[in-house]
Amino acid sequence: MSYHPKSLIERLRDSLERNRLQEPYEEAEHAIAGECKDMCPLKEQKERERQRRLHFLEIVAGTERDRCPKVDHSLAIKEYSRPAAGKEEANPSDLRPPHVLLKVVNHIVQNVLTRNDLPWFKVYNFAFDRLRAVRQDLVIQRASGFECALILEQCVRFHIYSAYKLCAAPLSEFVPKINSDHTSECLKRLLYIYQLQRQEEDGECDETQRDAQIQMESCHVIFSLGSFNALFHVLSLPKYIRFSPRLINAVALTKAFWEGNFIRVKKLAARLSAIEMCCLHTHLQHIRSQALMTMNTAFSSRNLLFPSRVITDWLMFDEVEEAEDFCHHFGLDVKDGKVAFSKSCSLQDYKLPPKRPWCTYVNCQLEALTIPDIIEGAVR
Amino acid sequence: MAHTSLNQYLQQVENGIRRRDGSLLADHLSFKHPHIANPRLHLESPEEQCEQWFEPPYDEMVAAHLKCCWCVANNDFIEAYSLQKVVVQAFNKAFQGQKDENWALPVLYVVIVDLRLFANSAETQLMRKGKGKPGELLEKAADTMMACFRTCAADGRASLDDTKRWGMLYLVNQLFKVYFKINKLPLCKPLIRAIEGSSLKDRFSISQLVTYKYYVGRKEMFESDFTAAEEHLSFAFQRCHHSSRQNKRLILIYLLPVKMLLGHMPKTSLLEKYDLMQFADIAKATKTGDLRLLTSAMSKNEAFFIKCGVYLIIEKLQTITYRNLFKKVQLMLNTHQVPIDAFETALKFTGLEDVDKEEVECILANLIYKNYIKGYLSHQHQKLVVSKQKPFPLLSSFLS
Repeated sequence: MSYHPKSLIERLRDSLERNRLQEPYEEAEHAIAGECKDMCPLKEQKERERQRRLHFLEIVAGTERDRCPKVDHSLAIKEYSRPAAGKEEANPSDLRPPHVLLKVVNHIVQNVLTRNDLPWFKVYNFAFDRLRAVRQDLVIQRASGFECALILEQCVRFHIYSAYKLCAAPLSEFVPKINSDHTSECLKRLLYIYQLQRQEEDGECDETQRDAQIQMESCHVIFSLGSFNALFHVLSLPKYIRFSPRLINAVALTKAFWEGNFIRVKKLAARLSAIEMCCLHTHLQHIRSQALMTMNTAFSSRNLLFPSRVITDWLMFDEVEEAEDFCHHFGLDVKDGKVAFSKSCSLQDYKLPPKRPWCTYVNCQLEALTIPDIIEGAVR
Repeated sequence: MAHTSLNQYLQQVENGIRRRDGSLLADHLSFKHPHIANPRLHLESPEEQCEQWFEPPYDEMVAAHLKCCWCVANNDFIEAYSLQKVVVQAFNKAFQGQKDENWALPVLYVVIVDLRLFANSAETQLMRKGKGKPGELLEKAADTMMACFRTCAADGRASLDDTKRWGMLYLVNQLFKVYFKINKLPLCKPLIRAIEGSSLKDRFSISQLVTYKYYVGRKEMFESDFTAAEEHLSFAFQRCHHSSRQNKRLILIYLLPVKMLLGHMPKTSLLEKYDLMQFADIAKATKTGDLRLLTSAMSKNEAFFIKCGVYLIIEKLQTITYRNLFKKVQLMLNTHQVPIDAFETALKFTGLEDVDKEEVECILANLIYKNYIKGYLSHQHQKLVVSKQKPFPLLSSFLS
């Protein structure tokens, strides 16, 4: 028998040790509970005051022009800091428990997002950063209760609404990709929390929670319009959500989008709530370009012209001029209110045209609502 | 066999190794073999005996197997899974050392399939305890299987009779099963490349090829490559042994929708034979252009279609249903300039009450754009002008 330095017992034990499943971390036991009762830990307030890194929206009015602006304790909010290797573990005194986080969100919605003395992109960037820090605190504490859902719902609405409001902003002010990544991250986490809650409570929740769930599930479908996975997810939802009018409408929208049925998309869009309409708006240019490509082939004829007025209506443009600009962008001839379609010219090589900063279809939905209404989820 | 002593059992294993008898050794390491029910072999610590009988790494392999029998007898699949992993790893070590030999392939097959099954059971047990994420454990099992796959794939020097590369397809099929279960289809891609690039490609056993083509076909179906999916699934269906009814039925669940998408509707007798009447109304509706029947057939069997993962494929049959309905209208009116009104009436008649002229134009535009109809639309005259030759081309002529 060959010499082996270790006995079989030892070797087997070692192999098993290597292969044994690592005990999955026990969720609740290792989670830290936050103890910070302020929107921003005092340490950070002082530090940022000293370093002159306070945001305009966090200082005592009148000290803006001072050499060292003063921190306003009722306005300062913990900023986001990237988790990095070597950074100390989170200290409970720097972490805000869920009910404090909810207060922070309320403050942002009521007092920050309503500021109209600043350009919206500045308000957006401030709120984005501070809400991100809120979400980070939630994750570190592994929170998944109703407060967490309430917070994430507002984050989702904030990002979706901002995507519309800033859709024509330059990249230096607003990056759609980053915003949409954060939207989908919030949505993903939120839908997971809903799932946990449903498992625990056997589907028992009050009407407001239920409506919020329906709205968020429907936003998820429209936000990821045409996604197979989103639709699969819907099929797994309990009946009271899946067969709610909002979800039925959202699912029909995805199916119409698949089929290229832009007329049905237009009809279904008329039934969307304000926030759902903002979701759809992010896909609008894409839907329009697909539709234009289809029409360019199907209505292609040497002697027939297509009225711009009809394109305006079919593709949800605000005015004929906008529709004609759109066609022109794709290299189509526009004359006397008519477009010449020709399947011999391919529209595929063109990039999507830039968006206009407003859209009547969305605006008329938003009109009656204040920003806090929208973010807090007043359903219309 | 069920009541042999430990020594008798170890003697058999030793015979298997010494005589290079792959199937003898495979039997004594398989959980399908009766020895696992033998209480005299359920040992918590068989290390000492195994060390006396075998050299490393065989000692580790056999000891882990016996401990594994003990765990299974105690219904502890989490520990059984860890032990089976040791069995596979020890086997792979021994297998790598067997230069220019492939007699141990049957052993590879049994230890791998048991690893996958234990991973499934362990995951169920973990989930019941509320631990772990779904799919996590199976993915780790797949890593262990991949190590064996590399041993096989790298054995390029040995002669055709002795090469371990014959084991590749079996491992690929087992890995497919895992990847489909945990929904990681992109991971199949390098495996398919390895098989398609192999000189043994068409020479593997027919049963392994049937499994392989079944999974490749399903993957292509999900990627909307319907012609390729039809080819592979048809191969699987035709070559699958006629006594494996259940397998043939499984293949049909995917082959039928693909065929229908390409315009081939199944006969009722086939659906009856394989107890797949869920597709009967779908096929009938698509063929006759009956949108109302299509919608009701889909919602009636929704759960079945979702469970099999063909729901979204069947959704696509709607376009074909439109095409068939519009073809009928055109034939009935027998003109090349069909008023849009006529299509609107037909759609309303078949259950789409809320459709209007705009939407009919849009549906027609899409059918033209996707090549289902040859012709063009005149918005001004509210007419569809169809080509004089083959206005409704055969589906298989343009669908891929």
